[in-house]
Amino acid sequence: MTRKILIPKIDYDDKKRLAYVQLFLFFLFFLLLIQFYKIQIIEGDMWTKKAEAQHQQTQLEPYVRGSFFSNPYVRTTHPEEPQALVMDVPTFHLYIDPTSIPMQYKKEMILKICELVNCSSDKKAKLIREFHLKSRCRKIWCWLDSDTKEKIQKWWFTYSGEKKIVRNALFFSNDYRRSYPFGSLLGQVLHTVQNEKEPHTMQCYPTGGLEMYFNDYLKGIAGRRIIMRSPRHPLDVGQVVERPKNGADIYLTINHYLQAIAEEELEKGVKKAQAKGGWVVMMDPFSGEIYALAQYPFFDVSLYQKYFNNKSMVEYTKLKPVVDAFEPGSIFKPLTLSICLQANEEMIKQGKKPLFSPTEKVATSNGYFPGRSTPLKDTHMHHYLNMYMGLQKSSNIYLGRILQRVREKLGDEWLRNAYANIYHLGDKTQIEYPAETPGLLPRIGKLHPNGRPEWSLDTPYSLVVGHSVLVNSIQMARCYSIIANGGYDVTPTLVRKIVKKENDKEEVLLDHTNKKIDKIKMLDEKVVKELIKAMKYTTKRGGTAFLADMPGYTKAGKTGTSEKIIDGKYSQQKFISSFIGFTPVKHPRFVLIVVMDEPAVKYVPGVGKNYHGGSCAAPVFKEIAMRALQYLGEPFDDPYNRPVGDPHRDMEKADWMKEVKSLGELYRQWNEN
Amino acid sequence: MISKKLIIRTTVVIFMLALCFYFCIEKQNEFTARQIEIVSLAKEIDKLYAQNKKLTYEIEQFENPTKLLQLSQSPTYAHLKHPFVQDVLSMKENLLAHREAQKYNKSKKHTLSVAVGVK
Repeated sequence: MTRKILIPKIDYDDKKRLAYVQLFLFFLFFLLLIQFYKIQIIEGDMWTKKAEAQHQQTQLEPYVRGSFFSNPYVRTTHPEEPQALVMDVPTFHLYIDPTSIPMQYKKEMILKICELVNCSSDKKAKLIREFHLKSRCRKIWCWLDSDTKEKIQKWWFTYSGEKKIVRNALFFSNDYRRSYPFGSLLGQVLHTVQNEKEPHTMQCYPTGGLEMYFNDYLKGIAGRRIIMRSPRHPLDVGQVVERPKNGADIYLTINHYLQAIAEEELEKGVKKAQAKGGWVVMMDPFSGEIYALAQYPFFDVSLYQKYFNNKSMVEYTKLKPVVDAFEPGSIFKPLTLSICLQANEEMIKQGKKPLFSPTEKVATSNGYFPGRSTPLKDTHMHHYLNMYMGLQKSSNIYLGRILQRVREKLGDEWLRNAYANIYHLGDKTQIEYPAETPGLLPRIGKLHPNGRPEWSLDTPYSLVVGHSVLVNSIQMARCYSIIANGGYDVTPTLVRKIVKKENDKEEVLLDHTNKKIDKIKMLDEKVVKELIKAMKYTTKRGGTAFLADMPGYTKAGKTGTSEKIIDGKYSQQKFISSFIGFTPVKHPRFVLIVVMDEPAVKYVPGVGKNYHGGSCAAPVFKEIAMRALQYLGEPFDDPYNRPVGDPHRDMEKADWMKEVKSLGELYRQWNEN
Repeated sequence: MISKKLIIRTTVVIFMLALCFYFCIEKQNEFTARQIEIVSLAKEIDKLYAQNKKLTYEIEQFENPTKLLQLSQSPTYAHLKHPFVQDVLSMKENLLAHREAQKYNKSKKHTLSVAVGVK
């Protein structure tokens, strides 16, 4: 028997109702589809980011900022490897996730962390505040070394396990810190970067110096690391999704050993002279490479905040040889003399008689010059001098008389152009350092801000004594390099090359090592020879810089003492004293300028006035030059000029002694009768 | 009736498939093991790199020229002097081998500098 199923008959109304329900369900489904489309397609990126933010955290992977390296190649034999003057050392920052740490353990944790990081009481208070903030991530300690990090980690792994605290409630982030293996060496030149970095790019803020000048080369690009928030994933592990790009390394011309010698001797010299400070520049006269650039008081870059927060100490962070200009005083005389000798050559070229002869007897008792209300004076009264005596005794009047002839025959414009074109005075040397001062060379027809003309009738006679002109020490080193290298132009530089290392590949971004010397002749050979001859007398008996006479080597140079301008007036109590010279004379290894800022005004028995360049700067030159030449392995070129008591000493055979004796006799004949 | 031949064929296919599947899983495991190893190796490399940097820094600190200058003035080392340029001889290392090498590839000159007669 089969059972018949009775299917109720669906009437029209039911069908209609069913259709509505179907339509409604379809509409709901359609809405769902729209919402799905909105969430997945239109707002997909936003929701993905939100979801990732809940589970993942992107951390910036720090890059290694470029280093500065010293120049070991100044020594031709046994050059060492370039040594890092500054390097980025890996360090760690300590973070906590305060919301994941149960309240009852916070106090204990704070105490332990304080013990491990050697925390002071005020920092402890800050730490307590950080632990009680409602946050998922707080940086509680910066710049931890790897040993401290390991200690903290060792304690934490055991402690978090025992107390059942999520392990990533305490974690570390990697970073690099600027570190200075040689301490304050070259502080003012290098400068540093601030402790705080730009949070989004991890870029450093340089405080000045080479760090600032070369920031574009030194900085890299931070990478990205993704880390999981889940308690199963400790936060110190994560995938690097973008590798950081490191900065380029800069190889300087500075030699670390010569720099150390310069700084050590400078410090001794400044203390001995009871000066406010001092600086030294050592430069290769042929390539323009700066071997040493020292300044005292030093700037310890690791304590930069202490210097910048103290008004009196900010001055120590400035590199005065580059950023400060001063009136050079008598060290300017060889430049003037070279121009006078060059004027002689100019006269010969024009088929006329030379203006003067180096051996000519010139009357020097009258110091009156046209345009000057006060006469020029010499430290001692000399009746007659020739060119060699003029420079040996640093006579203002002798040089004034010669310069008078030059301006009368060739005019002021020729004179001014000679200073500007031969020695580039008034122009920046373009050394790689920020805020270099161009100095000042008076311009004809231009007015000072006070309305007075820059170049007037008496200006050339002021230039004779190194007044009315402003120079920086790099400019002076450059001028003397032109004399020392035989009259060729030279450009000072602090950088040998810049190299970017990436994936074992080296890319040289800048190279000065293969730079051919610009063989632009600035001075005639004859002029240079005469000038060097004259400069050799200054460090011998009867000269102003006999304290710079170092045994074993020949040298040529000039002392300078200039009054500082205080409130628009020349001070009689504050001086800038200097000595600049080069050694050995035949093929100089370097030009060295030593400047003493405000040496004590006093008389030193057996030496003379302490504030004279010959008394306070010349001995520093001698010490630095002697130790530097020994380091460079330079053989003696004046082997008989040895210290008293040395068996090799024979002053009769010593260099330049005969010339000094005969010049001394001539001086006595002209001035003592 | 299912033929014997078909059974054998099917068994071989299943066996081969199982074998392939096994090797595939084995390979996957190997990759996973390597991936885990990479993480720990990368960590170790980072650690070594950091240690190397730290040691380099410490060596540099030890070779601080200011310290070396102080040491050179101490009585123990006061007798040591920098050699003059003419007292340093530069000798070519393994001259013949160097010449041979030069024939085939233009390599850099290898020189050995020896200081003699240090006063």
